[in-house]
Amino acid sequence: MKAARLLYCLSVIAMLVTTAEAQEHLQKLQRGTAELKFAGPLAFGPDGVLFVGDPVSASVFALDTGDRQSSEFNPEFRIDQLEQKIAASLGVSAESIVINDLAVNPISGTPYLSLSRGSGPDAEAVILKLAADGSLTELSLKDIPHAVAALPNPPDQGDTDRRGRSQRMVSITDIALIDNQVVVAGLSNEEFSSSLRAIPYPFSADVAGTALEVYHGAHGKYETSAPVRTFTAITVDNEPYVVAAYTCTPLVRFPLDEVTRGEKIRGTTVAELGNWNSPLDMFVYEQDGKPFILMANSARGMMKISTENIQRDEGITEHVTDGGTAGQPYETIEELKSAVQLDKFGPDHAIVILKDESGRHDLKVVPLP
Amino acid sequence: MFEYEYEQDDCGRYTFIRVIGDFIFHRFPILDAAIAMVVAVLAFFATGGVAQTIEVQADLVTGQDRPGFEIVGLTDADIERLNELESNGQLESVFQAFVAGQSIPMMARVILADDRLVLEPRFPLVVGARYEVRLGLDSLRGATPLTRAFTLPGAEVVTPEVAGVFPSSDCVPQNLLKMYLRFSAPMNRGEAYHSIRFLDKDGRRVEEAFLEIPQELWDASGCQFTILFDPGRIKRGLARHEQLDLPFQVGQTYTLVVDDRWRSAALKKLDKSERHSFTVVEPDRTQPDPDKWTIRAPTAGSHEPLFIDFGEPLDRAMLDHAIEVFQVDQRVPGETTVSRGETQWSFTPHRPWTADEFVIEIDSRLEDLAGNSIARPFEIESLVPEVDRSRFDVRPRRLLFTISSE
Repeated sequence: MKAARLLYCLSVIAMLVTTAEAQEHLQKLQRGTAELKFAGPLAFGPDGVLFVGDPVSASVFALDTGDRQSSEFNPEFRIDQLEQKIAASLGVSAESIVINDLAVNPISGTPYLSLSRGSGPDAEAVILKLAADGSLTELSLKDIPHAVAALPNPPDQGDTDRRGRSQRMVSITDIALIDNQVVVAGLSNEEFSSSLRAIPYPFSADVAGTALEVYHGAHGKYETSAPVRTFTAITVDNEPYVVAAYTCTPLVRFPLDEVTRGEKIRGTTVAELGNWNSPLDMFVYEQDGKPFILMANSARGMMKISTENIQRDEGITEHVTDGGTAGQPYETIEELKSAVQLDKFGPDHAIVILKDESGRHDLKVVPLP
Repeated sequence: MFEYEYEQDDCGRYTFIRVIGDFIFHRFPILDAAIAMVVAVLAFFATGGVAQTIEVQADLVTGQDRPGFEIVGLTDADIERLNELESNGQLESVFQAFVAGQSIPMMARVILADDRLVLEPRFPLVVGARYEVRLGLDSLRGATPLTRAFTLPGAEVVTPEVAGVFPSSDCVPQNLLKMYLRFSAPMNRGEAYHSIRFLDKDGRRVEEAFLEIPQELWDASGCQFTILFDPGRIKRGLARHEQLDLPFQVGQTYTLVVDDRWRSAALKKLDKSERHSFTVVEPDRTQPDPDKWTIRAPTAGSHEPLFIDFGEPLDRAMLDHAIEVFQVDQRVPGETTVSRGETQWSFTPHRPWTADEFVIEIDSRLEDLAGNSIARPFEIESLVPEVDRSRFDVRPRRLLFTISSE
């Protein structure tokens, strides 16, 4: 009985500490208009804070959605012809809508979309909340508690101002909050440069984050600046890692502490998942006590990748020939082949946007494979 | 032109809805007023001279930051009913705007402003698009809803053109990393990779030549698109290079085809397809070296350009901003020109040169066509056994030149 009481007291204290921590980072957000110029990759942080990558202003925004009401995840969630519905709501034709990313609030189960309304440089940045009845609500960027972190090494705004031109852009391919660091992957439209950066959260005006130098070994050679397309954090045998999918060397593992310390990172190639393909998005989930990676691809469909022995010291050192694969075993989930966006939807489901050949987009919830 | 449509409802009454905003009235105020009068007169006669409702007005409603729709000519009874609906938060369901043919209403705010019912779209109306507005008259007068359609007029959309393909030279190294396409107008996103292809001399498509980045690589103006070749195919020793070899073979000629179906941001197709042919030469694995550049200094008192010859083509986009001229720590304002297949750069100052010492400051990220920058070679892994960051000096390079008073 005493033990139970003690446990209860401890859990209350833990809750109070958690709440205090939550309040602390939320209190650092300033209420006002979030000047988002492009709503790119999304990632949820703690307490309903939504991170949005904005390549145009070379910044990451932390937005307090206020969406902290815990709720049952609805496995029947489904919106057909999503793009048509968004376009109608936003007053344009479907061809003037680009869905940039999908993220689910892990507290409420509400899916959020970042998108561009219109095309070209004047496109408007929009974030929508989706409801199971198909209704769409805008996350207003006016009068919202938020913070902004400028990416290190942003475009040369000085040049832009002086010469009336703004050429250089950093495209953001993925973001995630990993161990209080917002990790950002991207690439420039001009120089070929390091593409992984880490910014401590809560954002602080005097800490701009670090550009991470990435190396990975194979045959004693080093790959440094290839664009990271998507990445996720994973813990195997109590050891935390970041797993990144590259365009040219598919799956690379990094020690998390090297990423969060913002140092030179040594990567190990753990899988070659085949050529003629670009990874699009990924997340980690647990099944029967084992972690798996679910990864969407441009050409090779949805892959359920085993993390068995992913922590091994030796990476892949032999070249894979004839378009073959090596390293972590995986299975292809045929019915999710056409997924262009995905996120985790509660412990047992994924939410996906499937795009058919006619360009139609359907959003639905599927059991985790 | 501005389009007014009006119909009779089941009760034989006319109700008119007008488009408001400054996009048309500033330009054609007299014409609009004339149309409005004609419509009003038609309406009067169509209702047998019994003006049930509504006087059509085409005046500018000020104090509104974007065009919207409004209902005028509401009766006192209508307004009383609308006040009720407003207090229940139901105005948005009475007056709705739609993209023509769609069943989901556009996000909008509806307010009752004195005797008008005003719909303010959340997002700006698009010029050239067709919209329908519906007034739920059943809520007001027990009649069927009225629907009106509008097409918003706008300036003629210009036809976009390909303004430049870079590298512009006829010859490119086999390990070419990037190409740039420049357009005369901002382009639509999401169409790039369907609209470009490389063909060999027999017209066969070169498969997987370039990377497809879902976000696409544009500059901020939306007028310059970057084609990034797969660095995994270009770097020696990496798996993709071993599997696929380089996309282009030395000595062969290839053609980049840009389809005319590629549309501008205003959804207007290119004026014509573009073809750009080039011959592939040996790979370039040497970093650009400013110390080997040729500089021709101008004379004092002149507007002559400062001239640099790189001895090789460099990255076209970066040349727009990577080189600057300083006079005693002050940047010299002027215009740059890039010429001779991106092998030459010149700078013409806004003010005449004075006799002094000048510094040419060069961003060490400036690359050649194969991604070798001044600071570091593209193929680091094949050149150094252990990467040592200190080997790569990322600070700007400085070249000095002096203009004498003679």
